[in-house]
Amino acid sequence: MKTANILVIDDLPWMLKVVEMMLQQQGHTVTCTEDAKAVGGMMSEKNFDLVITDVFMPEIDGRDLIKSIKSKGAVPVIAMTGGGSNVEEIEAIMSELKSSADAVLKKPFTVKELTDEVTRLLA
Amino acid sequence: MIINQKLAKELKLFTGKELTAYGLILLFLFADIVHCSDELVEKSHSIDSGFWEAAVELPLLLITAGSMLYLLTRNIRKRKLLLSLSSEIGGLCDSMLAGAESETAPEKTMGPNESLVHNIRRSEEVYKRLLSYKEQVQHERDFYTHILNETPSFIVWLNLDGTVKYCNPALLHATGYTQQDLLGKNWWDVFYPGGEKNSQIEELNNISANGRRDVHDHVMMLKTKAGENRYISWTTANILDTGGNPVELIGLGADITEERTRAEKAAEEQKMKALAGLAGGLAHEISNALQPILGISEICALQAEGKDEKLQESMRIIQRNALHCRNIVNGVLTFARRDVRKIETYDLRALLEETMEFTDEFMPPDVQVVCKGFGDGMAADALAPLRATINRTEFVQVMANLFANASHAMKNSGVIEVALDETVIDGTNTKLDSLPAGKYAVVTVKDRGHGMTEDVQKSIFQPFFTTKKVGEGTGLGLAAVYGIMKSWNGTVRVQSQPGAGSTFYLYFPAANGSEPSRAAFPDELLQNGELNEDGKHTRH
Repeated sequence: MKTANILVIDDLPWMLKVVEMMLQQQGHTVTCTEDAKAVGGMMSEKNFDLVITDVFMPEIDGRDLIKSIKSKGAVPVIAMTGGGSNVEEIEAIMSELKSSADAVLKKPFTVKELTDEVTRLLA
Repeated sequence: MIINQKLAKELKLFTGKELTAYGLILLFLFADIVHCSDELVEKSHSIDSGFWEAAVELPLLLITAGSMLYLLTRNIRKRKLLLSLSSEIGGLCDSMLAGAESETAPEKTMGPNESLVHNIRRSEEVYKRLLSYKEQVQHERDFYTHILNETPSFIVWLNLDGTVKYCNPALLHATGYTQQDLLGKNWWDVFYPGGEKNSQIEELNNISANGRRDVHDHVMMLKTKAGENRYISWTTANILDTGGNPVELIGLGADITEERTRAEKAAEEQKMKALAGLAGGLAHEISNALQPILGISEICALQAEGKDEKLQESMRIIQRNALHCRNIVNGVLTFARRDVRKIETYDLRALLEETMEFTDEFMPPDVQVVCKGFGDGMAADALAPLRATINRTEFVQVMANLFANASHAMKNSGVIEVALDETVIDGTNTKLDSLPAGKYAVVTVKDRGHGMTEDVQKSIFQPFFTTKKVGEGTGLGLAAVYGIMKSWNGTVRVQSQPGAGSTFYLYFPAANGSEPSRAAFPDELLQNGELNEDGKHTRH
């Protein structure tokens, strides 16, 4: 399996830890941040093969962050979301994200579901 | 003979012409009196017009005949008697006219002949007045008859023991009984057969003071001849005897079945809506909380592989349960859906066939799904389409949930019958009164499983209600079915008996005009495979 440098963004530290562990399990190098505003700087300092970001964060909307990342380069982005409080809301969010992100994962997702998307985007 | 001789002597005082004239008049008068008397006897069972006219005309005829006889007789004693009778009838007329303005003058200074004429006039006046009263009475009677016959309210007249004395047409129409079925019968025996009679009487006695049974807006269930239960709101009044004791009862009832059913449904929907909001919010939080449980247990299981079997198994148990929780959350989110789904018009016949091909893959091997009403081997395209505007993915979820439940009820062995038909709802079926009148496509899913009690049937569409063992069901499948059907302006109904299986009826408002969509089978279902609440058929 191809390993990669992956940037993970989420406002919840424990969520970052979980995703980090899931990715490290597959041998990837993982950088985590709770500060979505710092992402631009981090990406200019280091080349990431993939970005995985939460959608609903207090300081910045994940959808805007994805658009910003995609406008600057060809780094694939996976959006992960807990969705909304009903299926329509979730589907509306996921539908919106599908047009900007390269993949969308609905929490909670399995290692396999994460790995499948990562592998597909890194291929 | 002697009488005839005396009469002949008296009659000598009159000329022949006069006698002929008086004789003829008398004959006519007596004929009239006999005729009136006959009518009175004949029509004495009612106060129909003939009886009334005869009754008021008879005194007039009598006084006229008496006056004629007075003029014909020369016998002082007889004349006095006739004059006295005439005056008595006149006095009677006076008392009848008392309080009313009389057109005739007082009798005091009149001679016998004038007095006779005066009395005839007074009796004529009484006759006219009585006819006028008769018209008023007739008018009032027509008015009350109209009310009794035309009012949508129920009117019943009972003895206190429950013997029916009268029922109005509205009650007969609504209950399906005839006057013959009810008159003279016991109200409680007819409408509350079995053990309900005593409890109903006891309930009525409890709320009415001193056994009077006068109640206001008291709702009682009433069983129609066809066995249907109706809610009736009764207001009653007692009819008292001279001692002030209640002897009879007049009841005024309003059929509030539709109103009550609508209110119950509105309350139910409100409850479901509140539950959906609560459940949706919780589900969102649980989704996040499940991520570390699912993710870390999976990582630990992978790390323990080949090293620590017990740890690996423990982690797999956590992982399996986390996945089960995820399915529950998805079920909750489906239940908590809002009505903004993308919907299109489909031919249900074709869609159902596709769905069954798809779900067949997941059904237990001993469960067979059989179709009825699909044209007995004819291709779906050859039959008239039954169109409905729905969401295809959710349609499959609805059917899969019903199939999974049917299969479970039959212990994964038996035949599930699926039928498709159409029906017209016209507002007369109270069980479906939440649906607007119109044409509906009806999908029926019937199993021969263990069936359900009435109590269970009342709760099955509520979220988290389940009769399955812990871990076998979440109680969300039918709640989701209910929520989805409501979102399409349809509904779901169940008919079941313990030991006799269950039949679920899905009502889809028929869509006319627009061409049915023939989109590819829902990809998301194939991808996620999240078909039912149990996650038994999931493919990850």
